[in-house]
Amino acid sequence: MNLLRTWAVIRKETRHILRDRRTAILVTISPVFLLLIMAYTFMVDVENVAVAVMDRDGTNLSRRYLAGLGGTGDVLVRYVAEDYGDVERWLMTSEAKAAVIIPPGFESALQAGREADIQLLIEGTEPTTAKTAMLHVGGYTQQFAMEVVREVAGRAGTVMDTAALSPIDLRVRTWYNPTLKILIGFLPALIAVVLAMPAVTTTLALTREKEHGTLEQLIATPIRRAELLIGKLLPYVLSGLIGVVLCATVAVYWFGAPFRGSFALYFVLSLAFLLASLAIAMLMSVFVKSQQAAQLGAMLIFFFPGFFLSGIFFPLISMAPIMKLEAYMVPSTHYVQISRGIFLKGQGLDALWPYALALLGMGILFMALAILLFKKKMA
Amino acid sequence: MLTRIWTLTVKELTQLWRDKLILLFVFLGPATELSLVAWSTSGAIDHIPTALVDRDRTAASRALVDALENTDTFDATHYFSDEAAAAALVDSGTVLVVVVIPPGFGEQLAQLDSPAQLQIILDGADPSAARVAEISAEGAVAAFAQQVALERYGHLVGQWGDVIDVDTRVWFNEELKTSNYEVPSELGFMLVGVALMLASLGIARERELGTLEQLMVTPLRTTELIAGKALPVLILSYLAFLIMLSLVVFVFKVPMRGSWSLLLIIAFFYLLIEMVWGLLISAVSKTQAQALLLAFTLMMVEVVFSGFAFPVENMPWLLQRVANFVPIKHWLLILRGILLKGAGVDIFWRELLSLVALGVVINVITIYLLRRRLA
Repeated sequence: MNLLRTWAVIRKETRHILRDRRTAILVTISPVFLLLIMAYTFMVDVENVAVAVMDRDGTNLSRRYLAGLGGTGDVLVRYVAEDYGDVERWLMTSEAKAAVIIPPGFESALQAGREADIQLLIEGTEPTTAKTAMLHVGGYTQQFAMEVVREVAGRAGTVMDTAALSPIDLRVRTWYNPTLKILIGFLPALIAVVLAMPAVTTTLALTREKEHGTLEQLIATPIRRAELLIGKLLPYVLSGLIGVVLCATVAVYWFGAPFRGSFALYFVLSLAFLLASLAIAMLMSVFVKSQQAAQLGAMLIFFFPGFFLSGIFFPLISMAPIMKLEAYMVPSTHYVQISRGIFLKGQGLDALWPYALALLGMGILFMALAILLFKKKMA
Repeated sequence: MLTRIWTLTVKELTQLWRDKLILLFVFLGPATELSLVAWSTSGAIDHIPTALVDRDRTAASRALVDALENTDTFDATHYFSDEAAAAALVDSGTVLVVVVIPPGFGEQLAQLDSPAQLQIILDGADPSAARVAEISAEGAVAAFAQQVALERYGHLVGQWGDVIDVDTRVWFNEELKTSNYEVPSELGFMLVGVALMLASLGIARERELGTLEQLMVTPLRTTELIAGKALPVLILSYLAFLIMLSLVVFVFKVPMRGSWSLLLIIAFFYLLIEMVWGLLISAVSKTQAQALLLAFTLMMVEVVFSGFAFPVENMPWLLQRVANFVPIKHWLLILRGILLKGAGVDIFWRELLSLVALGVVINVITIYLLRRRLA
């Protein structure tokens, strides 16, 4: 391996990227641009579920129940229905995620010391929202029921202890992200998603030359295969690193994400991640013949697994063992752990070494494979 | 005119046919990936590793732990007598939840003169798991607390049972299966991907390789060129859609309660819109690299606005408005509506109208731009 020749390839590729201004700007700027857009969609402030209510009892107690339901802050009473047809329509169009219906006889049952019923209809197409609605309505109803019990007992002459209404004081503390701001929790992981952009561009590095027929010319020069591939890889790594710095800056200074670990470590491990994912891109570039194929392949290799298998939205712990194995084959999975660990937990290499090692191993393995197969294919 | 369009279509298809990898990536790739992603994300988030710090050690504290574990959300994997040791496990990511039951918990529950203290610590670095754990813990603890209060005071108020019985009925997705929500979304993304990717390079490739001039000197008119480029993309992505839809309905058993013909027709027009987006990218890009980066950028934007992680109605006001201009948002509402609810046009006419309006605008802009750039 000759450094001078590698340097020549690096300069050639850099010039190639820079000459096409728009591509150069796109590949460097697109990660941070995407991070900005994505981050804003994660700015979920209020998470109240829209519900419809229907009061078929029309008594003081039923009105009190419904007034209290809207006052919990978790539920937004958006519609008041006149009949079942209304309810059905709103659930069908998803304008209401749940409907609370108080049947006739609600008050009289409770006054007489009999169990009262409440009907809860749930629009189930979004299970998470549906479960939230069920828990909120259920929790509020329990609270309300205890109040009623207390009143009835009070009329009978028994004074219930105040703690009977809420016997347990549950304090939930969320570490690293005390207000459980969804955005702050997701930001470090989203950086892993947007850094797919340098990788998808790398898949074009060799295919462009193939399509233009200039690869043969390059092969005919004294440049060795390894020098060619490494020289082609490095400019994209550099543009990826610029992307990392830009994304981290925006995350910390624009969105106010905490950065509790060492930036130097973050930089080095980001480099390891870029090497691993770009090496995979390079390996693909050896195989595909056209840029069209490279683009489709990049979508399959970087885009979907980076989003869905990397543990950003679906925690790894909930995946089946075989899926976990697959997830660990995706570089983003490791980078998500690294990014979250350094940003939010302030972890050092002592905690992150397995991920770092995995990325380094992938980088070396895939680059070696790319060089080896490239030699074979061109021979 | 039709024969010329057809000739170009055949040329395009032959070109794609020659590159076997492309066919593999269009038909097998998305279907395989859809299966993978569907399997890995179809389960609910449960059995979260949890550390228990029970400093009370009474029947009450054990009953509470049982109540938490019965939710299936928590798996008590580690037991400690002090908090510091449990905290270290959260730092290292071994457990995501710590339940701390302070001494005197059982005694306070027996007396009920002041609320018994209970603390739950969540790993906020994994927000999805933390959210599920929080909701689940709150529900389980509230139910447990009510049980305690009723045991104490139930005799005062006769045989009330639950006092108020919430009769819950879930519509459209009776078992609240996550996969019924996620799998159609994922089909949506794969579809956007295929249509956008195939269309975005179409004209950019000819321009980069210098073959566009050759095409321009043939008797082919600009509109015919556009149509000839669009048709193969539509054919391929529609086939990919059919393959994935069969997977969704027949393998992943997402219920299909609506009209097949309605779904198949709307899907075609939706693909047309996504494809035109691709052509628009193709029109403004000078090289394939530019087209590729623009296509990926657009695809990511579509994905975040599809509401797969958070419903669009929870987004900031301005972004909710922006989301209306993203076709996938309307398409997924329609797709889920037809699949799960058996909805017809009377239910989702607003979404359909938005799609039509978007389609017309995008088409006009693209054809105008392409004709100007190709002239």
